[in-house]
Amino acid sequence: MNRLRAAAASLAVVSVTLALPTTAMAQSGAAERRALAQATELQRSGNMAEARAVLERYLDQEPTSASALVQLAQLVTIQGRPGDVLVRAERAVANGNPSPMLRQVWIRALTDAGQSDSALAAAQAWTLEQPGSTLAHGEVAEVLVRRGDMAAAVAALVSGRDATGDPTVFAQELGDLYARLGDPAATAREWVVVLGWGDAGVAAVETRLQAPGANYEILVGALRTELVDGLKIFTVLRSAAFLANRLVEEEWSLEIAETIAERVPGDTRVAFLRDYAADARNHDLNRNAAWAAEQLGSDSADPDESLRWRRLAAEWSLAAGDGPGATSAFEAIVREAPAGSEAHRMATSSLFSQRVRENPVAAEPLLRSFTRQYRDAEEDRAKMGVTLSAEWIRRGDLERAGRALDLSGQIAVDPTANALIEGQRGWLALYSGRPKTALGHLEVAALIPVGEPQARTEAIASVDAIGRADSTEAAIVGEALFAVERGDTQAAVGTVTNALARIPASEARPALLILIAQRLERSGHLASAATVYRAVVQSFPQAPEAAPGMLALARSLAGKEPSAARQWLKKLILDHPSSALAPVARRLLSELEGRVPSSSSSS
Amino acid sequence: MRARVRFLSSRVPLLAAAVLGLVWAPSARAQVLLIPMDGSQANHLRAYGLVFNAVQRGARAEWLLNYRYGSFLLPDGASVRQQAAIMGVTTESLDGGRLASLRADIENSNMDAVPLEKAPRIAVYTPPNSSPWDDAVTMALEYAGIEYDRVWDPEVLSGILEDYDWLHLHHEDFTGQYSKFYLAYAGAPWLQEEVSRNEGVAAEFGYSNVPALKKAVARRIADYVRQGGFLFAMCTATETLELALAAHSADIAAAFADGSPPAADASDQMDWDATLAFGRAELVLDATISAFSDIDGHQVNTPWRRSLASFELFDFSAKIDPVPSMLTQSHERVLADFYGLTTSFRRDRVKPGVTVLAEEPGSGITKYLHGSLGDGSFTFLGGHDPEDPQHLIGDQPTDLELHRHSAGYRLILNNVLYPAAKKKALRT
Repeated sequence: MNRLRAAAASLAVVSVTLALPTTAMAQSGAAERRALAQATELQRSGNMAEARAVLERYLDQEPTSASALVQLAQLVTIQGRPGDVLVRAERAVANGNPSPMLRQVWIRALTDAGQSDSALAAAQAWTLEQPGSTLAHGEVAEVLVRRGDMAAAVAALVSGRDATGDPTVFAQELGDLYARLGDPAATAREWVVVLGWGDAGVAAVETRLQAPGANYEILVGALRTELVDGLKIFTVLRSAAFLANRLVEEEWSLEIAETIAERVPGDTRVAFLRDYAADARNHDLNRNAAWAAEQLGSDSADPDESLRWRRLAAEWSLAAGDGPGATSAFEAIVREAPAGSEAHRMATSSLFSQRVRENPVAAEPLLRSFTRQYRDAEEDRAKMGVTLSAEWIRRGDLERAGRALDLSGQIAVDPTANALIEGQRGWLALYSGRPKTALGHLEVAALIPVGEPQARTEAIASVDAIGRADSTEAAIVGEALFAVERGDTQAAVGTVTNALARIPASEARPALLILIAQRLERSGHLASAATVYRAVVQSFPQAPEAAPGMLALARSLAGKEPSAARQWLKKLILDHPSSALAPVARRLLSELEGRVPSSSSSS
Repeated sequence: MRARVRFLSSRVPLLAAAVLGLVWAPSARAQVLLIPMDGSQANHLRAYGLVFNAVQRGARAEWLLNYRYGSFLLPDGASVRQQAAIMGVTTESLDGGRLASLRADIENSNMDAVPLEKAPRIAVYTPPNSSPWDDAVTMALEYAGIEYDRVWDPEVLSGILEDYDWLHLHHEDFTGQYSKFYLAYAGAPWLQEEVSRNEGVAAEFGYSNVPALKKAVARRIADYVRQGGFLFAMCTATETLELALAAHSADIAAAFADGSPPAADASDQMDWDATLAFGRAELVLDATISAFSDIDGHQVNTPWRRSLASFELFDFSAKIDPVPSMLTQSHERVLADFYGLTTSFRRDRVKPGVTVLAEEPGSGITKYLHGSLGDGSFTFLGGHDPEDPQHLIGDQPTDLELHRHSAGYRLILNNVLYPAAKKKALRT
């Protein structure tokens, strides 16, 4: 087994392999092709001895058939008897004027048979005979690698490079040997040559960096240094940028791309930036893609093309989580695009979304302008109005929240827009302590069968709960929900445990509590949500609303207290067997008990 | 050692059996729960777990062969109802009148009622670090809530199998060639770990190489069956167990596994008298081809792989052939086929005396086999995962919650439950 591993490793180091050259294939006669095909078929069906016999019979007739000899060499290696091909290889070479492939088979057979001195002598003789042959120098190195003498193998390849007069030959092999010798700077030097080959070079270097056991950090560091220090041609830098993308090295990739963009003029620069943007996107490097798109947008003399690139820059900045970058791109579009155009509308709306959270006052003029220019875009206007309103609610200003809805203008026909505005007016009324008014608005929102499912579900649930509650109870719930929206969870939970607890519970109480708990959960306040859910399941265990409460509690406990979570799930299944949540509880129970793979597992 | 066992012949009339006290016959007033296994069942797979665990706790259950596709009877009680609710298993309460009518139906049709009285102790042969999701049987056991122990080579060689009634093997390669993935996955960490683990155990127990270790383990497993054990094997464990047994005097392993090439005439050196189910097979000795012999009718990892079709379960007489009948209880008779490193078994490689339970009609290819060896019995099911037609290394695990009615997984669970059926001890 170790022998096999060593052989595999040596073949990986020096890539002058036993692959069948196409010229040899072309020269093969019909008899040879038949023999090779027959041997392949026998080998595939497991009949190794017969396959070998077929090849040997053919070689008895045609002892210099390189293809048959190569196939025999592969077969005897699988059989664990690599030296068995030696006699035939020697005979073939002795026939005079051997092909390079025959020489390779012979030299490797010598090594396999433990005669590495003879193998080395044969390879060196070949180099003397044909000093310009890369195969010959490669074989010398191959023998030395298999003897474990890496330094001598390096010397052989460097000498071969000099002899051939091509400074790029053996770059990959030398890179590998330097890496094995622990010389990252020399490795990087060779890899820079390899990168000059274009895409093939990128793949070769990436494979080596990602190989198990590769000293990634050190080798990447050396490569970065080598690229900075040396005066590199465009092809190398371009390959290095794409290599950095493949390695998801965001900063390094951008650094190289900026260097290229500075140094390369005209169409070459544009072509590079286009390719780079696409490649960066393919590797989820959105910030880099956005940078390239921004460059292309600035460079382009064509207004339409410029806008297209700026839109992409904004979109990719958002995908990268780069708010300022996106804002800057949207501002540029709003400046450059004609008012009333699709690009202008989209950019204004997006810029509004970017601004609203940072500064709702600064977002108001944008909404006003949008409402004036795009009266037909009712859904967009409604969404923007609700977004601004929600931001004012979050800041505790219900009056400005109401005015924000007015800024979005009249909604004439669009039912989705109407549902959005009515829903928001309903919540505002509830937060302001006017449950009857709230009910009227929320009923309209709940009745319109469009819009976001979660918002509509909440509207329907709240209409049902508020409709059954008495007005004092509903007003207190509105107060609690407002506190949740402001992020004041203490006040929200305090309202539940104090104000609500002091008044008699209507039949709607569990449903009202669930509304509060779900809001807390959606806002990420899981501990507070759990407190309210617990109040539901403990005070109203038989109410239908206890089932979602139990499920939510189980979910919140699943990580740290799985046995408690399992108890809640079993209680849900047994106490509410016909609840739509019972199958969900069984699923979660199975996951907690390890009986099915977790929904979040990936293997 | 376990006593030799035989299933109670169903030729004994039901009434006579009841008089002898061999069949659980609740009084007319007692309530019983029917666990239906037809389309009304909400979770077919967990139903097996419910019954298994009830039997394990001492309840006496009955398996109603061919009655509503292999339903079960359990004594009614708060505990079992609660467990059924939690597991999502459908139950029906039967009063005395309905029970009597049910028994009359069974008496007058190709049906039978088999008592289930002792839950078998289950061992699954699997490497220590494997995940439950690597193996269809452990997935089924986990999902159904049936307890099992893991055993591997050290435990088998130490004689631990005597403690178990039922043993499952899955995709182990008993030829010791790491499923012949050695060349294709040479650099993969999981394979390197597998090689290292196997070589460590071989060295620890004094075997010169891994193929020699696996041959010894295979012989222990065959002995376990001879002495009364129930063996259930799937996928490549079926074929390679047989090859390891037949190759006791032949080198069939590639050089990468044992340092020497396989014997050129290895196929001729095989001793098929030593095997359980197969004979007269030709070996695949090429180390680069991930196939072992021509026993497998599909050869999934070869250029000449056969396409998947479907396989059909045979019908058996519940009263005359209760064991094959138990093993083929299902609400579907035609099932979609699924690949494994060993997917199926060529009929002309199956020994006479082995019962074919399912085959691909008209193809000469069988899927599901059952037979006896000494005092024990074995069942072989080809393929890797009944709900994943072409499982690849690294694929997502199958989620049985999405396959609660899987007929393929029912076949596996039939095997788990059938050793619980009432047995009559006989002297050897």
